[in-house]
Amino acid sequence: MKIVPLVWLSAVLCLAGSLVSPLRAAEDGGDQAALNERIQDLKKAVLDLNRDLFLLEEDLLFPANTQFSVFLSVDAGKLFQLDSVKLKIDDKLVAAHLYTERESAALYRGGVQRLYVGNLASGKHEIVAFFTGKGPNDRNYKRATKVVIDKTEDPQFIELKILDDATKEQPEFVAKVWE
Amino acid sequence: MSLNPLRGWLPALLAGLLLLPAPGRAEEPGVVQDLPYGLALYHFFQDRYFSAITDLMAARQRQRLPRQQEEADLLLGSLYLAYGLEKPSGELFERILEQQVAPAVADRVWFNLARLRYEQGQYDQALKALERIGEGLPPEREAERRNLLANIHLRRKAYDKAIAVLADFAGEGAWKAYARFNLGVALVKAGREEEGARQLEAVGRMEATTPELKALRDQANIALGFAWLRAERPKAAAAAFARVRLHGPLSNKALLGMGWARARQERLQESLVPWLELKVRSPLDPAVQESLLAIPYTIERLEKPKLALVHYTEASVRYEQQLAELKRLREAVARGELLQALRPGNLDDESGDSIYRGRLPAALSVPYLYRLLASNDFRSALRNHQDLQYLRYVLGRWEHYLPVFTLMLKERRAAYEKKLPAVTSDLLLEQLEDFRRQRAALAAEVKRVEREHDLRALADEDEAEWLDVLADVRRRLERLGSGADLEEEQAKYRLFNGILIWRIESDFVPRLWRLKRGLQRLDQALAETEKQYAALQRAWKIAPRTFEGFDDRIRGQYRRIKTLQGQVDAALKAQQQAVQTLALAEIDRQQARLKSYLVRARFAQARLYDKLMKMQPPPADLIAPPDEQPGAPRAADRPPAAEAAPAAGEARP
Repeated sequence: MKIVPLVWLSAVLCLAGSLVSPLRAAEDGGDQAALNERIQDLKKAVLDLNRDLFLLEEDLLFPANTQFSVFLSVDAGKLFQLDSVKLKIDDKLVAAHLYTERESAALYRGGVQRLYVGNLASGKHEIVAFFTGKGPNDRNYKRATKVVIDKTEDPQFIELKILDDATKEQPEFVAKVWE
Repeated sequence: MSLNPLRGWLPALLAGLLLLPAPGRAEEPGVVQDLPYGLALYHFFQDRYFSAITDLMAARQRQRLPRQQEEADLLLGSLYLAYGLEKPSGELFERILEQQVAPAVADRVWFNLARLRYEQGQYDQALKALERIGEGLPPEREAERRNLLANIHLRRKAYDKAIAVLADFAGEGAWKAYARFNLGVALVKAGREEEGARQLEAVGRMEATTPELKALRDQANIALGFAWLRAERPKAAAAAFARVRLHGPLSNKALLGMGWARARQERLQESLVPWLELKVRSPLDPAVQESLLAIPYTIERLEKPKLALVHYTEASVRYEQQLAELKRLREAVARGELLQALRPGNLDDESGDSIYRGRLPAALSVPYLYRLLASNDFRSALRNHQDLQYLRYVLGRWEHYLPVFTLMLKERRAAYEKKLPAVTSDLLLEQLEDFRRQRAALAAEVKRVEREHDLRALADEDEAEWLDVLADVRRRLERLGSGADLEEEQAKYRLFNGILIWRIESDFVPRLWRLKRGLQRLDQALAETEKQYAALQRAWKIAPRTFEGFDDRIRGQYRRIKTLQGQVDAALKAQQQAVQTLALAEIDRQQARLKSYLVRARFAQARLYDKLMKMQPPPADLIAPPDEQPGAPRAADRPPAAEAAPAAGEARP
């Protein structure tokens, strides 16, 4: 008896499997395509709703005349590896964040994090951010940056930026008020 | 041997490997100029497409992208695509092109659109989109453009065009390797098999430094190895298989192929070596399953029927074990345990990282499931399933929040109405008016003092008292008249009065300045009070905005949530059914393959047993000697090659 090499057996079986019921497979495929289309429409509908509810929440909780947001970004960031940040407004702790590896990577790739959103009355306020992490030579590093803002009746945005000061070989922490 | 051994079957082999997609690149983000753009990137970089899209949609609605609208639209289109929303993605790209955008932006949009249409299988439209690209594409995208163009030509069976695009490819690194691989495919498809094989050979021999390139090199070698094997060129096949990494994802296939390549060269003893390495690997892999039969088949050819029988017996036992595992798995999946397991660990996990991490029920915790999860169809079905679960979570969260919002509005309205009388009473305004009147009177008095040079008005308390005393003295002196000898008293009066007047007079200007400065301070305080009053009035006027008009919005959104919840639940149920069907079908496929192997193994066992019986009655311990019992540790570990080693001359029948 001639023994057929087995090398093609898997392929033959796979082919046989796919031919068991071609009609049913086509029907299933059609159903799945329709279901995929339905899921796509649903995703878009929920996204639209989520946007509307997001805006509703913002209007309700953070009205434009008092809205105040703090963002955080990293530019270069070779001299500092961020672990955590704390935010104080008028000496009151309002936000604290411990970064996961993934969040940290997203920041270092150019993403901007919304660290805090809240309400502030018109007038002067002191914003202080405390950064902890690893500085040059992998040493523990803790720094703070402060900015005094004059809150108007328009929404106000502050961006905390972590930069590299190449001349001093030290990280630099600055606060930018967005107009 | 055919003069052109590759003709006819290499294309078939390459069909499964056709058109390597090449390294996928998302739309590369630029420098952040608008915060919402950066915020969307933050989510995007964490695979949180739903949040990234929401942020961009909200920012567009609020017109918060004054500097990066076009960039943001491009990103949004790419995000839609990544989230599986092809329709909105295409619509957005088309909309951008209808606007007056910079040529560089238009080129990037055309490129994205081409990619989208390619993925949708609309190759003519993809080609048209690519043809619209001008000179504005970033250099790093150029390689990708050419690769896409070549793939479109290949899909449209325009092989010569694909070859022309790829032949003078000047890209670097991974792109060059992918282009070469695809050029090999295109040449084979065009009937130029030898040339195609040379290209694949070059990829198979390249220096690879990254995991991506190493995987590509392995793939090229596997394709070539099996191709040479079918072309009866086992030596070349063995060389190709030898270039595949021993512990890469394709190593099992390579070991299997290597065994067959040696067997075809009649190096039967050597062919057992890769198979015996394969045999101790996971029995879930089809290559391992096949090796379980290939080993006794070859041993039998080495004229060791007794040993071959032992190995066939072992193969049967292992197939039966796997079939029993699969049966248990099938029952568990049919009971719905798979769907239970596929619930995400964290409800708010939109990237799907926490799914089935360490939470598999015992019946499912077999590696088969992981093989199942690795198939493209299943992953895609699973992704939809997971997305629907996240949608349900989002809808549930808002459903919970909206009553809280309603309660908050109620409290705000109540607080407003409670404070309304106090803020709107005239009392505050009257007080302010009174302050203004007093200030006006004071200002008038200062003017009069200055105009009349009223020293007395600027006298301090002691000086005023002394002025009163001196006035009284003068009145008395005048009453006493000139008859009395009052010369000395009058002189003293004049002296004291003179000193006092001189003192006040000499300090008149500073005192008047201090008075005026006080008035200025009063003006400032008054202005501040007026400002606060105005702010209070303004705030009070707009306060109703913090609670008015929201009720209707909330009611409307609540209705939308309820409608969508019903639709999502129905779709989730249908998708769960689809996932389950796919899983069962995959298990059935695996069962069919194993059963077929089992039949072959048993048939061979029976045949050999008969053969041995005819030769001589088998001793009781021959079929399954104690140390060769299938499943016994030694049997699995010990290579039978040594025992099966044929005497010189025996290796070649």
